[in-house]
Amino acid sequence: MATVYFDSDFSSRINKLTVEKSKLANKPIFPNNYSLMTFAAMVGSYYNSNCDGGKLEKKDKEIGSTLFVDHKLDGIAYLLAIDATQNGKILKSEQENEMWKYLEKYSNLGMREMESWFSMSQSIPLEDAILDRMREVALDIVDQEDKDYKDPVF
Amino acid sequence: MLLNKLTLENFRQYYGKHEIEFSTNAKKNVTIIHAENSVGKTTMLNSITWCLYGNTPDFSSSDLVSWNHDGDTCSVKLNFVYDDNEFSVSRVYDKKRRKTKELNLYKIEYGNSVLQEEPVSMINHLLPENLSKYFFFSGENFGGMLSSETKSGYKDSIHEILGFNLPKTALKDLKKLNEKNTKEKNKLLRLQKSTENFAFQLDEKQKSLKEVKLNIESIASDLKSYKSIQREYSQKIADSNHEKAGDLSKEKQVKEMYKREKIAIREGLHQNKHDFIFKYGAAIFSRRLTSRGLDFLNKNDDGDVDDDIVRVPAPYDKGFVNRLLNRGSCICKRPLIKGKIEYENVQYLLHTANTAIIDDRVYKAKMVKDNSDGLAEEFLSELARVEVELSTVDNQIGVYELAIKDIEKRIDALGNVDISSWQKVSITATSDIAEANRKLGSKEAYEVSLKREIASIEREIGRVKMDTPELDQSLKYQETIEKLISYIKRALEKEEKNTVNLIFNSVQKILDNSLRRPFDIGRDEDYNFYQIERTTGSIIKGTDAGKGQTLLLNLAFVTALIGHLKLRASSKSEIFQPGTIAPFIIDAPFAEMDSSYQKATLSFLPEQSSQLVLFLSSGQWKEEYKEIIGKYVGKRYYLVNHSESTDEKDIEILKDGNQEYRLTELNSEHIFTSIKEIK
Repeated sequence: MATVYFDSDFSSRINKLTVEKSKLANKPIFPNNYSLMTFAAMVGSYYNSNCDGGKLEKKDKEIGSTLFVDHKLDGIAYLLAIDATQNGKILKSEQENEMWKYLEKYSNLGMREMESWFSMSQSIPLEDAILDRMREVALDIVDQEDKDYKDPVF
Repeated sequence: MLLNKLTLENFRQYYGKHEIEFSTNAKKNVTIIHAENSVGKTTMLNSITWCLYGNTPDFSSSDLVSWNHDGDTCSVKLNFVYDDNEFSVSRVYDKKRRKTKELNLYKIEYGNSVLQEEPVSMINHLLPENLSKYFFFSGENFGGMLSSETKSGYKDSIHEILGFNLPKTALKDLKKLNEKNTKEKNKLLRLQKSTENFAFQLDEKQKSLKEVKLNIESIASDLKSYKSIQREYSQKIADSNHEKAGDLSKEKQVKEMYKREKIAIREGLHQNKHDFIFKYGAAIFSRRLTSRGLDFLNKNDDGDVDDDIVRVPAPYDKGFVNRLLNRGSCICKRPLIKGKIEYENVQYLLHTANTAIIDDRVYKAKMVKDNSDGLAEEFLSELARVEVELSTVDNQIGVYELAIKDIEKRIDALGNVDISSWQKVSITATSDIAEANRKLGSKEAYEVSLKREIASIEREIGRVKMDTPELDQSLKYQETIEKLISYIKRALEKEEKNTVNLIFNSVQKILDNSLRRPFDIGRDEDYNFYQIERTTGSIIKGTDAGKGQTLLLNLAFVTALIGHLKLRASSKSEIFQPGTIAPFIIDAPFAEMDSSYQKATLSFLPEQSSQLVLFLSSGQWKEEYKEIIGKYVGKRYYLVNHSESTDEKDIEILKDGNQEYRLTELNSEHIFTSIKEIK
């Protein structure tokens, strides 16, 4: 089993996102650390073409890779690793530790990105800051899909 | 526990020795005892509670021995069946010594009586004394809502008969063991250099965890009392003699109830928004990754994009290459011999060969893209829907808040000093509740984060090589105990929630079938219950809905509890003990009830009870009731009043169809009561 971590710079933010219950919903935004890491990694991969700048300074909040596998969230880690290396060998079991590091690095980049959202939207709840960004990206995707759409030729 | 036989000897008006056998037949589970007032119905009910628990709610010990009896003692013996074994429990009172002799409990085995140890604890396990007035129910003395009258320990007693106390005790013991082990473990950790630092960190976190747990307990207890103050004072205004204030307060309670409902809806909608982050977030932000990553995955051997091919750039399967090497020949039939160039060339392919694990992972990576298609549009439409609903519900909450404030102002404007001060208390309690909830939330979050930190330190410790086998053993011991605690805790919470729901759903069903006006049953986590008028949402205090209705609700609750115990009696759970089968003995069940409620009560009582004993005066028995309850009646008796009177006018008769039974015997040497069976 490999292990992945968050950067300790984000420890307090992670607690806010995964432990503290939001006032209106009476539950935390993310149910656990591994779901936050998956989300953050995707955010990281969306705003960065590679994960070179995602190295952790100081590790915190260890997560075992089996948690991702057990909750069927491991596909993202494989995709990130293939994308970064452009080589399927990274998926071999001998490369386990290295393979999972891509998820960790992208998640670190994603946490930095999210931190910038929160600092720009301090007056609104964290969940709304996240949902606003999700809305922006979703609108872009839908626009793009509309542009790409071609009428079928009969 | 089913009652078999009751033997009374010189107990109050039961001069001499009298026996009564109760029906224990599963299909004919009802025993009816007819008697006029003051003849001995309540005495018989009390004799059972006195025998089991030693207390007499309606008379003092000095009055226990029959006034006709020349001797000094009286006794009550109760035979019952529990777990297919027969038991006999007896109590004797000695008038001369003014002393109740100790309770004796015997198990009857092949005709021999074997004395049982710790009879009090066994009886309390079968039917806890705290709940005795539930199972030995006096309709005339019910006073108000059963649960509100019950002393402390009520919830524990319900747990006892439901079979929850075994896992509760196990939890307490396991926690103690865990604390003890933690101390030992930390001591051992401090002795080892590689773990010394962890030991200090653990000590510190565990100390903080203990403190935060105490804080949580204290805030939760404050919260409970604030809620009770708020309820009490707003109810005080509603119940006040000041008609206008009462009406306004009731109106306010209704608005508060609607506001609470809307807040619950708003909470659900906000939870939906949270769920969107988890459900759609990763998929939406994965868009760029999936579009660039999958182009690469879909390239075939010639580098062209082919949607039907999903693979990584390794055209050979590792298993296949190994098979070629093992069989010693290539697909082109050339021999593969170790040391030869052909063998080495094929062997080299293993470096880039595919494996089953890669296939699986590539498949999962591909699924990330497939699963994200179309989700952006779905997310936008779902978010828009929730936001519209939220805005509507926010407006509605705002309207209720304004209305509530307006009512508060109108109550203040009445100028009644008492009412204004009660209102102030209620408003302060409301803000205290909000503050306590906020504090509780933050402490609970701190507790979760401390637990995670402790778990993380313990994982680190797990990686350190242990020099001492004791430490290794202690860590394994801790892991096992914590798994057990978590398993039992989860099972207990689930079972309790389920039980409360089943019991109160059953009560609600009885109410829906029986009451004239629609009432809901309100309840809390401590099994306390109350009535809520469905149309207005008003909480009904005590017997405000009418004594007959309150009595019916009390009977419905006990019946539902007994019905649930009956279901749990056959429980094969590894954690929970089976529930207790309990008798239900009711003196004057219809006191204060009109004919319609009497019939409704008779319809639900026998079906859900395991054993039902009804004490009825002749005024409470109508021929038509036979149609409702007749098929369940296994035994029927009447109590005869032996009177010194010679006046025929004093003779009372119980009419049953064409049959007549004399409830009075005249010209008796002594005044006493005897029991006669109706065959």
